[in-house]
Amino acid sequence: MIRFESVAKSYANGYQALSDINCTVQSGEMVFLTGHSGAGKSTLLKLLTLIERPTKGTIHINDVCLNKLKNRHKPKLRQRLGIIFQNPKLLENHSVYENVALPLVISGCCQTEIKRRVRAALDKVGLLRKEKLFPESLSGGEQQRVGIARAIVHKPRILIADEPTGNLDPELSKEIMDLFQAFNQVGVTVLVASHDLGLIGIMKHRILTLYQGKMLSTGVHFGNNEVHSG
Amino acid sequence: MEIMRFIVANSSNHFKPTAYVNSAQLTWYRRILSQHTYAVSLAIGRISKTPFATLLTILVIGLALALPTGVLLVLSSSQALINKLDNGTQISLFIESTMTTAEVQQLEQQLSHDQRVAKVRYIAPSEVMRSFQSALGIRENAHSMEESFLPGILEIVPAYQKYKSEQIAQFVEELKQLPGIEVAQLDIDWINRLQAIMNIIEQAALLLLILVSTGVMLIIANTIRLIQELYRDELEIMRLIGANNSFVRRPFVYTGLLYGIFGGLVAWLILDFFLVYLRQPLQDLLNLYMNQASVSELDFQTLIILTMIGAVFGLIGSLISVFVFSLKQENEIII
Repeated sequence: MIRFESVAKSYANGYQALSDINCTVQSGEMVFLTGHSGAGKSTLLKLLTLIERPTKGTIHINDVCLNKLKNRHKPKLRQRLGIIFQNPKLLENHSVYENVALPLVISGCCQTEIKRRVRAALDKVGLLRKEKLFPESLSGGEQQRVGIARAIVHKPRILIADEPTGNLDPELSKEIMDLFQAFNQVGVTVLVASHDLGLIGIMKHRILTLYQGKMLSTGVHFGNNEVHSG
Repeated sequence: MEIMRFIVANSSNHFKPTAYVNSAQLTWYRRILSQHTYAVSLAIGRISKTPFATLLTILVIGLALALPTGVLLVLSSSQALINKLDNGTQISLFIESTMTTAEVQQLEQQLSHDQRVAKVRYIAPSEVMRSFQSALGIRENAHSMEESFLPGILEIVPAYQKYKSEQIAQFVEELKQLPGIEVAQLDIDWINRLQAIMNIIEQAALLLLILVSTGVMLIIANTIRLIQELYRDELEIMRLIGANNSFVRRPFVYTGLLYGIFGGLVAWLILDFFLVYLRQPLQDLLNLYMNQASVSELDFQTLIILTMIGAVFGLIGSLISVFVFSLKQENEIII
């Protein structure tokens, strides 16, 4: 479960990125986070992944208060999240296999287990045959899928994606969203930031809407306007 | 505390993905071993990406290490030579012509009982004359020369094994005071002067060693800083997916270590090359003073010492780099 309580984030130059954010994402839920560019989507995800700290309010993940989490414990938290970025952020000098294996290497898995899990993750995103290639020889969609494989290889319970389909054509975007949905169906909590309203509208999941740093709506199924309490 | 709660909260088997295969986690020592192996492979991978720059860095380190080491090696060899020269010096006592043979024999007897004397030999004026004549090539008028023309000599080999040079010099001063001794001569002045020069060179070499060592460490620290800049994106990505500081820094520490080790190896090769180049003139010089001396070769021990010195410098340099320069990167991660 992810819970934001009266969260605000302002920067040293006085820019207020987020103010008074209150919302909850239940365990096993899939939620979209939307809003125009500069609405604060990325800031919200940065707070969740401890890239930045809130100026006010508290953030909880599974009853753990992130505000109290010390810097030295950040890596442990991140090891248990699956994070996907708009730019897939792959290691250019490493093969697809090595990229996907990295979270497992960091957490100290044995080689046989790494091999098994990386193959399974690559199979899931349909890139098993490309494990020896390097990111530069892959298309944008394939790179994004490698990023997804890396985010799920350690079987996180929470998947956070920031504009994962931002650079992809509609068909590929749909494929990737379906992939997220498949993870959600096996119990993973999925939080996807996206401004592709057309795509997330047909997915029938709760949508959090940000507007100029404020939470405009915390519970609208884009398709049928079903309202959940936030 | 918070992280413990997080782990405990996450360890429930409620969701399918929570069936995290903990048995797949390695035991702590195998995990450390596997992470260090990974760091070494990453370090090798990174330096092999820029072979030319790596080669240059290693050469610079090697040259910097070879310079003071070479000076110190030459000094230690020279020191052995000087000691040998020192020990080869004899004391010559020129006997006044007024001394009778009996008095001289008594003096010889007295000296042979002195602890500071290893050997004493009396060379009579006639014997001195013979060697003087043979040195000059005079044969014909040998007997026409008066024997009293030359003094008798007591030749003393001091006990260098038991006494220091200073004590021997003191002994010479005592000998000068003895009655019937015209001159007591120990020709070590030039050796003392040489020794003084050697001491200065040695001090300078040590100073050079300190300066060069600092230089080598700073070269390594700066090189590692540049590599960190080069791999900045990679480090950010690693941190984002849960790598801690140790995981991110470790490959750089190994990079520094490898630079140091290879630098030490290069230094050894450079010194070896110079030794081969200088072998003949050195051998000629040694042959002048010692019959059975030979120029020593750089052995395996020197190689080990040089690579270890290099490794320590590499380690310190890279640690300086990762701790001083990576601090700024901690909070600069941007999605």
